[in-house]
Amino acid sequence: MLTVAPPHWSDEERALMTVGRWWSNWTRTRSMLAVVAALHLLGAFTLAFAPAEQLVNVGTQPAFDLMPRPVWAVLFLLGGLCSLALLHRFTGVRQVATWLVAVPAQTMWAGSTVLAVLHGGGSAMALVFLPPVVAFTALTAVVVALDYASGKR
Amino acid sequence: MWLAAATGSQDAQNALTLAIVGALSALLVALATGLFQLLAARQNRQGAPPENAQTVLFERTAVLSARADDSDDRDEAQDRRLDVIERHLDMDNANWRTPPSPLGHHD
Repeated sequence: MLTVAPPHWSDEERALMTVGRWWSNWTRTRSMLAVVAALHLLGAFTLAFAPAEQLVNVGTQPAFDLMPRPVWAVLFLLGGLCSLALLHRFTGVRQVATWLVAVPAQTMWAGSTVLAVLHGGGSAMALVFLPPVVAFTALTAVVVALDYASGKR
Repeated sequence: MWLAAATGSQDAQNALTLAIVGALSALLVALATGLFQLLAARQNRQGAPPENAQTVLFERTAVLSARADDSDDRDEAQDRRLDVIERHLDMDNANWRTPPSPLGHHD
């Protein structure tokens, strides 16, 4: 016998509860991963559509000497898509794929700036900002791995 | 011309350095993720698998469902027992269901 009448939720209340549940599942790790994904997708877009004179300079020349623009764009796009896949669900394969693309791409890009600055060119401020981006990505990889190991998917 | 050659060789050297940096970082990532997967797999083998919320809910629902079935069985047994008792009472006294008069009269 029911002693308490079941609550009647309106559509608005149901929608609010759905958003609340979604928000409570959205952890700090996923926020970090979203930043990494956005960074790569934005990088891919910029590499694909920015004017050449705004992309190729002393600081980026070593990177473009190694690989042409379209290859870098595809690499960053791949990194972004892998990050999105990982954002959707944490799996071992997705982690390996994401970090195997994202970390080397970022490291080479930061390395290009380091080389340019060491040879007297490039942007010294880029040298300040790019390594922390790589460090943030590495930190995200560690945090995702720890969450994955603790059963969070 | 030597300047161009030097610049060219410098660019090639830079590209080579970057390629090595990229390959090393990829190797490092592969090693780290491989090692982590290995440790995680070993931990999963040794320890109990982590329970997710859905599994817990399924298990609890199954337990409650089994308990409800048990209760239904017990209720049916009790109903049958009551039927038998009522039949016996009917045989002894057909009016046993009538509540006794507060004045003590028996019809």
